[in-house]
Amino acid sequence: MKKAFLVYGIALSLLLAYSNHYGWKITDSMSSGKWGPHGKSIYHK
Amino acid sequence: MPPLPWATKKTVAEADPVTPAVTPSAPPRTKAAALSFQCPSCGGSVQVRAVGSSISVVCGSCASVIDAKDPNHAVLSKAAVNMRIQPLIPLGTRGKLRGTLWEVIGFMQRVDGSGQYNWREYLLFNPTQGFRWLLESQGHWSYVIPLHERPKKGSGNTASVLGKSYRHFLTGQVSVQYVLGEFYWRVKVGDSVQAMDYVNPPEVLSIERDKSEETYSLGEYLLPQEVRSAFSITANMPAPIGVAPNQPSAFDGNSDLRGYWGAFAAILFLIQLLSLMFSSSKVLDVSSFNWEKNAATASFSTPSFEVTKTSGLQIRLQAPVSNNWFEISGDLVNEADGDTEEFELGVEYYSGYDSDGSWSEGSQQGSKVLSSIAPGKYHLNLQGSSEMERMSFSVETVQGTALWSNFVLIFSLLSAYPAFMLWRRHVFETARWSGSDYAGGDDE
Repeated sequence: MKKAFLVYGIALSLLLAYSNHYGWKITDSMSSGKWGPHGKSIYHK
Repeated sequence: MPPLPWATKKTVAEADPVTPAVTPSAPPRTKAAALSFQCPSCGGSVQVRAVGSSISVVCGSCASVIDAKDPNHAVLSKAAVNMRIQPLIPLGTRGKLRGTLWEVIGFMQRVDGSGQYNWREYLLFNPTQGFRWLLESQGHWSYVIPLHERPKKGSGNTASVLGKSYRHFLTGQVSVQYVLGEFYWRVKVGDSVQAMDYVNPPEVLSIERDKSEETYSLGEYLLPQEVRSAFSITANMPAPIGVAPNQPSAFDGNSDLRGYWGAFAAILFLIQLLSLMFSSSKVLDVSSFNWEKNAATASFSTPSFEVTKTSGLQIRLQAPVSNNWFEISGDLVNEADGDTEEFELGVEYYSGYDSDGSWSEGSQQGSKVLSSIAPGKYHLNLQGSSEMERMSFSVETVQGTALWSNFVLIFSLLSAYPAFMLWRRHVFETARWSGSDYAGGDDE
């Protein structure tokens, strides 16, 4: 469990650094379905 | 919950469980024959397994307490048998527990002062190790060792012994309800003592006191399957109910998790701080417009501007509204492929006077962040709306803005699991202490 949490924490830290670097607003992706910094829609195209 | 049964049984003086009557160095007496005789009261067969160590033996037929040391087997007391309990582990059963072979030689059921809660205690004997107890209360088991060191009173409601501190759990009167087999003291139904229990899971420290003496014991929580395996119990084990006072919490070993959480919280904060420090905000465009409600066209376009790297784009609106609102519906247009990103942004500002003085709410400025805009040439198409007749407003487009929403979201995700575990721990501890003298508060 501790190992899993360690991996989880590292993943979240990287996600924050990555999303901040690209100005990727994750909450917008949650509502729009456009994931990632280049905003590819999972619903269209 | 019952007052806990953990306390040591009677009289170390009469037959010391560990020393000196049965010392570790004493010659093994495993081959010493058990002594059998007829009960002088009812004629039933009575057996003494711990010959030389047992002080009294209870006739299984008539419950008379017989002097085990007396060659004539004098009856110490007679009791009316108004209940008969079949021990889950029959007397004479042998089992290996904690690396030692034990034989069950005595069984008793005790009850709390209210008479509502009872529990069962098995006396274990090994010729070289002496006596131990196996306790079963509401399906929870403990392995109990008599202590010779008197616990010290600690600060608050604590006691300490053998270098460990224990928190007071319960004090209550307990009495013997049923008894079977042999014991290292003179036991009879109705014997009553005051018991005090202190816990430090998986251990429980018990102090028993009556008019003439005080005895101490240390119990350790056992899993039911350990008991089943040790004594090859084939019957159904009683299912554990609730949380035992000394039951170890599955949610207590999370101190490492708390450490990780703290470390990652600091790392996230640092990342956010660095992002704020090094995010190079760059104003790409500032445009002003005059909007009229009934104008032929209420649409506006900004000049082209270039986004140089993938980043968030902040659109800032400033409109001098007063007791009114102004809203723009906009499109960020990629001039290379015509793709658009829609957004809405509004401002509202109200102010006035009332009995408390002047008040205001809202703002004449607002902003909206467009997530991760790829490099390229863009312009904004804007359409205004308001209840005002005309309005001058300005729109500023800024590249590379820091996002707090990501930090809040990710920090929440990081904290969710530790918070859940903390809640589970709280529920577990509340259940544990619900049976204590501190139920309903002051338990953690």
